[in-house]
Amino acid sequence: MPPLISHNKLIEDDWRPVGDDQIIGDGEKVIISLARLRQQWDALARMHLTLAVELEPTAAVDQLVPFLDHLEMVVLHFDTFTDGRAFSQARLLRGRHLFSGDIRAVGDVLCDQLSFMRRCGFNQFQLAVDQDIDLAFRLFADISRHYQRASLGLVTE
Amino acid sequence: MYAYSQLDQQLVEQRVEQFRDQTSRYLAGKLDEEVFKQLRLRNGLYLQRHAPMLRVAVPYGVLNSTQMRALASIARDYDKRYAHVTTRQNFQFNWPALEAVPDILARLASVQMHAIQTSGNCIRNVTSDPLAGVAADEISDPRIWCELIRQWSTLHPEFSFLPRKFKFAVTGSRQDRVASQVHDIGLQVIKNTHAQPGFRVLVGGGMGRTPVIGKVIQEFLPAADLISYLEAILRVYNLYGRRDNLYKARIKILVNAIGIDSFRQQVDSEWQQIRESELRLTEEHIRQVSDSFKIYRYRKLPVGDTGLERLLHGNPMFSSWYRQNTREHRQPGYRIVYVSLKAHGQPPGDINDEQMDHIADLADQFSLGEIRTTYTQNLVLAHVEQSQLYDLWRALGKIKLAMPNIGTVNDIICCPGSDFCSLANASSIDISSDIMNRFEALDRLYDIGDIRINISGCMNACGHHHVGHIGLLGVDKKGEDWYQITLGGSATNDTALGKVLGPAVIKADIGRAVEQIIEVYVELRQPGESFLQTLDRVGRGPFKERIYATVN
Repeated sequence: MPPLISHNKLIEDDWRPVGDDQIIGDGEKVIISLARLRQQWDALARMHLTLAVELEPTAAVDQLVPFLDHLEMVVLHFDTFTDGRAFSQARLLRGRHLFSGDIRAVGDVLCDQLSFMRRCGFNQFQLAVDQDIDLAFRLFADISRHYQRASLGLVTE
Repeated sequence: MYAYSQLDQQLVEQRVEQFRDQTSRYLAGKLDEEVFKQLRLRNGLYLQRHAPMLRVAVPYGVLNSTQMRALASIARDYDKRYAHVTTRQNFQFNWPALEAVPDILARLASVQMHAIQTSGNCIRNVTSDPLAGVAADEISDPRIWCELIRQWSTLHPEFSFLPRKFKFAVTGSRQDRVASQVHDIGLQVIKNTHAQPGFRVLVGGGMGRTPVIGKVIQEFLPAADLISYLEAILRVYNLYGRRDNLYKARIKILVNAIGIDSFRQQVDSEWQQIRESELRLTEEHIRQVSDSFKIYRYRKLPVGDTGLERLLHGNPMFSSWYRQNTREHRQPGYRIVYVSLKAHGQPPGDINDEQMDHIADLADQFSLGEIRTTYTQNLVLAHVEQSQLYDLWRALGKIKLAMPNIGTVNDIICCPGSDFCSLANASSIDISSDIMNRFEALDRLYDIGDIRINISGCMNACGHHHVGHIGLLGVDKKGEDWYQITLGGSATNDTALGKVLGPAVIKADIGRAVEQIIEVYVELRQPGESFLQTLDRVGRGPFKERIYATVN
């Protein structure tokens, strides 16, 4: 598995990502798609699950809003490191919808972008496989001064 | 001139060290080629045809003499003793070694300069009126707003990986000298009926492969809402701009695809949620930025005769330069001076290290230590006492910077073309040189009057060919350089996109073709009629006939 950083520590991933046609057991800790969440919500809500949703870069954050109180984590996807949509998605989740669970970056997650991600509200980072973990910790705050104020959930320290 | 705060300085210094680290990791083979490309572009560094090219930001085109000397020293120590003023008011070095770039950036940081976001798919250096704060026709000084946009957009964590590059231009005058209608966002500072400042906001303009004139998204945006509104536009663009096709990724394509009304609606619904946030500009914040601009200490000068009239009468060369290269200043007794970088035998916009040092000295001596750059690739000394114009003119003449050709056929906007740029399809510098040689005689130049000729070596349109009265676009046909001619473009208040005249013309004939276009204009014009007015009246027919009867 690619290394996972959470709250500035390297951690083991105890989440299980499940495909839309995979079976979920009672009380499991799973990452599901937005489509499954919306289609099977009534059933899922009765299963005592610990839930996370993975949102595609094309999906509107608004679709997730009715469910946010029931989610431990939202997973946002970088198809390529140059695709910056997840930065906006994270900011909307944190700043506008006041989501207080974890926001995890997955996909093409590069050390050199961690400080931007962190400032937009991400707090879990599943690094791309070729990324160096020591470098990641070093680059979290390679620039410590910012012009943008704490507006709308932007992390400023 | 804006003076850095401690925050500005620290941020720029940290950015230098960040880039030093990225460069050394790349050179050590620890950073992927494609990743480094994206990182270095966001710091203005291209790997070009011959060597890297470093584009240094000149925020809204204002420099002080110390900064100019630093640029000269970089040209001397790290380059081939010259630099290039770009069509976005920046300075470009064509020959630095990659290994040396972090040191160059450190030297820039020591004089409050940087190369942040001069390239890459992010918010680029903001351009503005080279006559900001001094123009007689100014409604409100645009520099304060430019600086606020600079700060907001610098290393913005949400908007550093946009679908495509994003360019702002801000004007505060009645006369548009920034090409505001052909930028991703054009801001025109205006005042409402209560004399409060605000902005007319245009969105979705641009040149390149698909030239589009910007559309009005807000007739009057109150000044306090500037940043929240820009953030709303950028968020809609970041989320919904196309990312599947490089050529359809600019905001103009999004605006055209969904229509300006629908785009405005989306922006508004985003804006309503952030309008009353911390993004709202307080009067205190605006004052703080405004106070960071040093006030120009003008002398109280006599308005009447300063001996200037006598000198103008006695010296036709000085008189031509005065007429062609100087403009009215709002301060009595002062004059604005354009320094032409369009000398015969020189690529448009190029300036060597000695000239840079001299210009810095002349700025200190004659113009409150300040130099401006223009998107037409010239310099401006904005605060010259009328009584010192003659001395300045003589001093400029000694360093070959007194060409009296601002606004003429020879004041060509020109990209570096295939001589330097790896994107170019054709050369552009030698074409501009060919054209300039045809109009060497000043009498002829002045008789023709003001005509804007713009040349781009490829359809990325760095040379603004779409908005030239006469535009030339280099195209590659089976390994040969050919040029498409457009007529009727303009980038001022009457912004228009030129229309293609006919088939492309081969390199050997293109200079002659441009000369013929100008001859047709001179033959057909009525007294006092500009090139665009004549073209409008007679149509493209006569121009087409003349050119295609003889070439191809």
